[in-house]
Amino acid sequence: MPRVKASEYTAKKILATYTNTKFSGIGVRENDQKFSIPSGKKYVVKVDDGSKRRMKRGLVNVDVSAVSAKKFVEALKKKRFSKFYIEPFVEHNIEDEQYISIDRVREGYTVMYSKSGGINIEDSKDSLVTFTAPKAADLVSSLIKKTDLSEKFVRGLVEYFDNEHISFLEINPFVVKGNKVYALDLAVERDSAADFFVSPDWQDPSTSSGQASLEVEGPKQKVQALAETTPASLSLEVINKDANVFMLLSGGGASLVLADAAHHKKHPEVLANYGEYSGNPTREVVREYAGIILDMALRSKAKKKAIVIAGGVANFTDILQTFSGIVDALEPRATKLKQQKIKVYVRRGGPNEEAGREMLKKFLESRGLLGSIGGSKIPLTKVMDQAIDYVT
Amino acid sequence: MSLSLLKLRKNNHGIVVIGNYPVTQAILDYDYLQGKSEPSVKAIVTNGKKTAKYFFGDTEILIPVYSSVEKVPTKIATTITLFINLQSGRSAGASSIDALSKFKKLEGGIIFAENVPERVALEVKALADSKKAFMIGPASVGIFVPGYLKLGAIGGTLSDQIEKLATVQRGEVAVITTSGGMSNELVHSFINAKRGISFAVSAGGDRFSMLSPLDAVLAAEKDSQTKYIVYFGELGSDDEYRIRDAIKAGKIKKKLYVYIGGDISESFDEPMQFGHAKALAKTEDETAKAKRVALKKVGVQTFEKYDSFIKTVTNLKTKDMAKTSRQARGKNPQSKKIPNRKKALITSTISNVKTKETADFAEHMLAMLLGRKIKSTDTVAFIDLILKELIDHGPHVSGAVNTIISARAGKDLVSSVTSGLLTIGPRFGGALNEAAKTWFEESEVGDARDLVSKITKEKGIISGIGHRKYSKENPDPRVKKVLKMSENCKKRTYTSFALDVEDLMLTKKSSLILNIDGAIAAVMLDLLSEKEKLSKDEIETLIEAEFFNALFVIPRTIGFTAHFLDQKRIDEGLFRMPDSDVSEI
Repeated sequence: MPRVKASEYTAKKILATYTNTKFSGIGVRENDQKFSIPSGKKYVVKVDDGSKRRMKRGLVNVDVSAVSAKKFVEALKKKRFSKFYIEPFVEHNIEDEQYISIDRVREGYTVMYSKSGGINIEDSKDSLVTFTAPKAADLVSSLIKKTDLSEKFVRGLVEYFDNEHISFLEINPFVVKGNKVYALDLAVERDSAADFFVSPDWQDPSTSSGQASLEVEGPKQKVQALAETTPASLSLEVINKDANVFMLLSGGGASLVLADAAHHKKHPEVLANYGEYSGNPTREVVREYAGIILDMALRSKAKKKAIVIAGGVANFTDILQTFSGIVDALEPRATKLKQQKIKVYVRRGGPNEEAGREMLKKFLESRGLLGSIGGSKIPLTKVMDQAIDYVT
Repeated sequence: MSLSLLKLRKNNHGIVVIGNYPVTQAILDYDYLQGKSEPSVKAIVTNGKKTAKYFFGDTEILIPVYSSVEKVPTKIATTITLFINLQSGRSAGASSIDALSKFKKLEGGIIFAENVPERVALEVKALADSKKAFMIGPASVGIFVPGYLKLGAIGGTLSDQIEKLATVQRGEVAVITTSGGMSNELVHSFINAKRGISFAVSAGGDRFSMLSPLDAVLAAEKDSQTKYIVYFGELGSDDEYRIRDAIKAGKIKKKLYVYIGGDISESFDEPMQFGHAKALAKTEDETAKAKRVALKKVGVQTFEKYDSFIKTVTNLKTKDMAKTSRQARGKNPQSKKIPNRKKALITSTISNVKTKETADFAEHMLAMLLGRKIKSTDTVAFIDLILKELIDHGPHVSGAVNTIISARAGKDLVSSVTSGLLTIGPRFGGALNEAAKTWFEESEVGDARDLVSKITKEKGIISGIGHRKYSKENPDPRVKKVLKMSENCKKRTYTSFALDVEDLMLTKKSSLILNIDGAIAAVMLDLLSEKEKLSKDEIETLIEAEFFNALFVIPRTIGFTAHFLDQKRIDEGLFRMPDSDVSEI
């Protein structure tokens, strides 16, 4: 279900197999990858890391020689970009640029189409034709009827959209020359839950987790990497690394409630992070996840700090197991946490909750870290109030 | 798509669990605590076994297991009204489609897994719609209807959690969430406030959840037992706008109480836009705040603070009824507790087998082997005889030789005895079980003549017939003693059969006598069936477990041990085969 962004290189390479066209694009993925661009032609060179608005950000060069293309890539590498896409330039008039997007929706497929495509498409909203087709066959016939796309291209595109479990696709712009369709750009979001069923070529290292990122490996990236090793759910967003309250929250819904509570207590600035773990992760995974957040807490420059370990009443996540993982992470850091006078506030329920809370309580008391600890009888958001009171 | 609470509120659901997880026990526990006379789980679809052991109360029950939906027999398939699919996201789609196609009386199903591809979820939903069945999920912890049904992990999986859940009365408030964890948190708020619920459902957080939040609200609207609707939503998606539109169109008249989580997102950076589509499309603001505002405009009571949300919804003026309807109670009184039962890692039944203080060794031994008291002194006498007869057959036989060689090589007792035991098999000492199998199975399907002609045609041998040394002219004295022990048996089915076979085989060659293995096997079978009154199934299980070979292994172990001790006394040193006795080719 998680929709992930694909690189233009991969999206186009796989599309070519459906539209039966020759694919002449070059994808540069690694910093030391040797690549050669055949001379005698003109090219388009782009940064290809899953991000968009590249033209406006100066990350695209159009109609350049092979030599210039290579120079452009080297220049961008100095700016710490590392993934690029190069393809032969297609001569055309700007007026001929068209726009199309297809979105998978509950009712079928929603198409947006405009004969006035291009980077300024948002100024041409009046030219937009929108329709929803319930089934693939309807989509094919509607696209043939209502757009300038050739039948061959339409059939290939729809088959690509379904077979490769694509959730969203945008071609802006494309041009039609004779009976050939040229997609000058291609943005694809695909359903990563379908990895098993689709082409293995989608596993493109340039867009791991679909997030375009220039960042060095920070806590969020660490958690993303950890999430890929387990069927459980893990996420982490860093709001302010030098804030006061660090959260280890369980469950998507409950974590929103707890985070919202800080927001509403008129002290949203104390929140350092948002994120959650759920789906009965193993003790080891919880240990790793908790460790990443505890390290963040120790590094924070705030004077007064608190850790909130909270969630609702779990259906099947084992509280004893997950709390054991948290203790595993607290243990080696306990002295430092105590030195910084960090307090821990806990509210959680679920399978084996008494044993889990008892164990965690004993540990926190023995290390002088206990703020408060309770179960389902305590209102969900109370721990957040207590933690905020402590740090403000 | 029709989620009908009216249909769900009945006592005699038939549930199929696809995949095998503790959730099954939780469903059975809730059944038990509601006083149901029968468990609702009728079959499990998973690999690797034929039955699965669960508890109904404190009684162990065996639920049949099938390796695919297709294999569920008609007799069971016609009773199935619901299924819960616990398989992973990769497989859950296909097996759900199988279930929707196979079970004709199906009312609906739940998919628990996350990571079901979007396209697959839409396909399953389309099929369910065509069958007028409901589907909930993917990524759903299920639906809870107090007094009737707990289908899914919702409310818990351990017996103490289910005991708590069983205290929830049938009420007039419906609880709808997209988040699994919050569905249980909300249910517990009602438990703590001692208020009832009409039903609680977790739609799951997938983009194309098969029971959309709007579908769930409409089901609550249609449900005559529901008076108020409580809804927990999250930022993102347009689900709440669809609910707003339905209210505007007059499709929802009951009062809604709504909390939408996600105000925190105002603190995040706007993620970089991917493409122009969102900007081009006329979509509405998907923040929590915007959705609250939109719903408030149509008369929904919305809450910014979670605490006030909970306080309000657990204090509504509603009527709470007894936990179970009389109909649901069936014949059994409603229980409050699940009896104490521990899921054991290993099960053992024999260590409690008690024999009289005066019981002798043979009786004691047989009681342990069979796991029960021995009924007849004839059986004991027989065991006593064969134990003595089989202790040793001299130092020439393979097993003894192995033991002797090991002892002389300086090995310890256990190693040397084990070395001897390891020769026991199809050619030495191990024919007892095969002979028992032959007498038992062949006497069922025909007479001695049938067996002999079958073997002759196949050019095979019969275990229990034939000996290298003994023959018709030179009979094995042990065999005579053994056969005498069957004289007290009235029917003597197996011994007669074996002797008939011997008569026929002797006409071919004089060495084809009923040997000691065949004799012991035959007499033992007669004693077990006539004197100990074992059923045919029980005897078959003994044969499958190699019981008859144990009758050789046990006494012969004594013999090998004796040879070991003997060799240690004699102490001749390491044995080496004389060169002249080995032919190397």
